Amino acid sequence: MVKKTTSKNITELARLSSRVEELESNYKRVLADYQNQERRHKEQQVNTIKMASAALIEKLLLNLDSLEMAQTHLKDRGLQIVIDQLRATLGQEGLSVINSDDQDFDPLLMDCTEVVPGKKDIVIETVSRGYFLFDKVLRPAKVKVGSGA
Amino acid sequence: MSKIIGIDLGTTNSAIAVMEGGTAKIIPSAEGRNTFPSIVEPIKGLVGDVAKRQMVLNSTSTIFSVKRLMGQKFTGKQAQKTKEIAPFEIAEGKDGMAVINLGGKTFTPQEISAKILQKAKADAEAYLGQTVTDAVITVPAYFDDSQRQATKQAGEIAGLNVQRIVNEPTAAALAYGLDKGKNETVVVYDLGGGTFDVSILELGDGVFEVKSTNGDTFLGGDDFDRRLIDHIVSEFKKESGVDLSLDKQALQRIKDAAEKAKIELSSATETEINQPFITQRDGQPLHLTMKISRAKLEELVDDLIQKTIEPCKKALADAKIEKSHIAEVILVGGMTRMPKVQQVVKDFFGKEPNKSVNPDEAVALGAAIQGGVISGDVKDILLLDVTPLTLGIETMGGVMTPLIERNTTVPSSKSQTFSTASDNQPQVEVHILQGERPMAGDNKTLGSFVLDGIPAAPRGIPQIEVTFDIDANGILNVSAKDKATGKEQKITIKNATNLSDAEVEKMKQEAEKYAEEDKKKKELVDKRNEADTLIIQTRKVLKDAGDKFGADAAKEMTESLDELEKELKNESATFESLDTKLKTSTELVQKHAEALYKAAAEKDQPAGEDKPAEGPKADSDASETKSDTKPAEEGEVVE
Repeated sequence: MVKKTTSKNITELARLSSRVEELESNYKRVLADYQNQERRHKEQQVNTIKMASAALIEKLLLNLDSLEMAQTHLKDRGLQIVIDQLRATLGQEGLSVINSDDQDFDPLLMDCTEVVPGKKDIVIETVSRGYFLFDKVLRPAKVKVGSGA
Repeated sequence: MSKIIGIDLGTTNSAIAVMEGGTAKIIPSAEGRNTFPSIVEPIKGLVGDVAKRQMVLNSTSTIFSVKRLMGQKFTGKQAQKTKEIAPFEIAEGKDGMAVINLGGKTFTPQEISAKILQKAKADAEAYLGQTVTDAVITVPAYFDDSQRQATKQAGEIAGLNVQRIVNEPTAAALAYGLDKGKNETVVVYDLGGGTFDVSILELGDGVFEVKSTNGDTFLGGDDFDRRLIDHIVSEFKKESGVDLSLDKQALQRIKDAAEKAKIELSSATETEINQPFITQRDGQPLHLTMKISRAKLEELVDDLIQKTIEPCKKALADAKIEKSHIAEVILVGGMTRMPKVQQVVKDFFGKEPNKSVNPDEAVALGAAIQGGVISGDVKDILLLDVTPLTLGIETMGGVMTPLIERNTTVPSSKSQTFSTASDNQPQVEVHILQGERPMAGDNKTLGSFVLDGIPAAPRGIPQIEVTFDIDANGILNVSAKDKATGKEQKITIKNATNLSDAEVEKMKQEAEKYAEEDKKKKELVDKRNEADTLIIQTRKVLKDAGDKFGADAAKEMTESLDELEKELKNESATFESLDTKLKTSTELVQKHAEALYKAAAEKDQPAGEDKPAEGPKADSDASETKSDTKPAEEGEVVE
């Protein structure tokens, strides 16, 4: 009778201690998730503030492209001032041009849209400018690359 | 054990996800996007967006859609069809399997897929800040053993222990949360960038069985884009006589614009394509401006959408299942965002498809959930329940004031302070409600109790703090405490979250159905409460400082209030009738209060700049009449 109770207690104890272990591991797991989340949240917050305007600037780039295309055709001094103004404003927000003309083709910064006669793997013409927002590529430059022929 | 990531190794795009804090989350690629192109340049080791950008330059060494070659014999139909369209060289390798010849080297499809998986691993490690060694990878349901084996090998080459290969539709069903122990048959309709799959799944006791699968490995969003591009080019040609398809740069711009337009037309019914200076004719620039309606796009791609129906029919026939037995149709793949696709699916299956999960991410999310199940992450955390319906109490005028909103994760606790509705009110009744309707009577009563012994005080003065506390087991404790006396009453309600799905659904539907009617009812009550507050407050002011207004003004106000009160007591008073009378009274009170304040200010002017003690009092009382209406409506407990 006494023995039976003891063995029952032991099984109960084993069950409980394994349950404690399981819960402890789950607790740690959740805590770790939480801490990681915290860390990432902080990083993201810094990033969000810096890159908050990224989506808007990316849309505005299409307008800047159009203005530049118009200028290529019209060569109007007034329009040029407008373009420079817009560029300066975007520059204040962290936008800078990716230098692509005559450069080695770099897929990290550029998007090749056409292969044309010219020096091999060298950018022959920039079709639409690429831009950095701070140190990140906001939009790769669209370029024509030389075929070597 | 480290985290197990889920990878959707797609034909056109791939995605990565992981379990975090009990839910599956997409891991953004290094480029900051939720999916990345399944494109590889194996010699320079470029994968994803970067590989895509140099595809035009290195077309013969850039490999895309390699999934189509996984575990395929070179002589097989699939390999031969891919060979026709691929600019890279597909050849016969060991054991007659299809391989890719590139710059004098031979790459197996496994090796190419491994590059994609390596990127997934690296991006996941960067995101998680820890080494990733294990993964769950998804494959189409129709993949045979050798294709699954090839996928597993790809994982191993990438340095991943492939814990499991999961069927894409199964993963999608997991992401949609269809694993909760119900026995049912579901359809997974997956229209992606390059392929279409439909699968019939039978769910039961956590086991997913694919009953049948069908599809078209060469039908997807890219075909839709092409239709739109062709349309734009031909319209422009009609208009201007210039064939833009001959101008690569113009075509590139149209391609980008068409993709954008297609996406916009999923939410808008019309969009405009604006591409100035697209080309030149006789030295003059030509601009492309074109309006495209959703109807036009639907017309252009109608046959493509209809092409998905035949595989659906076949899948049903193979599974020997009637449409009426389908419990749920879930949508996967970016193209299912198109309203017309959703409509066609709905018409065919006679059921509103479920689109609650982002269709681009569903498969990866499901793979992550499977990973969580394997690592034991999921088991315990899933027990965290949410409240299926809003919990609140009844306040003045029979309004339901919510304390714990629907879908709040429990355990959760919330307190709010209320007050009395009439002067010297000795007790308040706390009537606990559950439901989404704004009027108390339309919701379910969970219980009620009375807090008495409130010391005599004008209405709105006593502070009664009501606390709702719901524990992880769904047990709700509600307490009310009079802050002045510290007297407290409480009640415990078991199974506050324990409602059957049908009950919850019914209550939600009712809330939607009666939304308009309820809103009107609530507005009427709000107006009544507003009128009631104005009457009581103004009468109080008149009693305390009535002589300062002058007999005429006081009489005029009293009469106006009496009239308002009469309307308030009239059972058939409408919102409009009350509103008119209330406005008249409010304006009158404001007018007199203003006059009183002015008079007081003038009287005190010679005495100095300081404002008189009495003047502002009258003013603040009058303005309180206005600002008090809101707390009164929300914050008072009905006796």
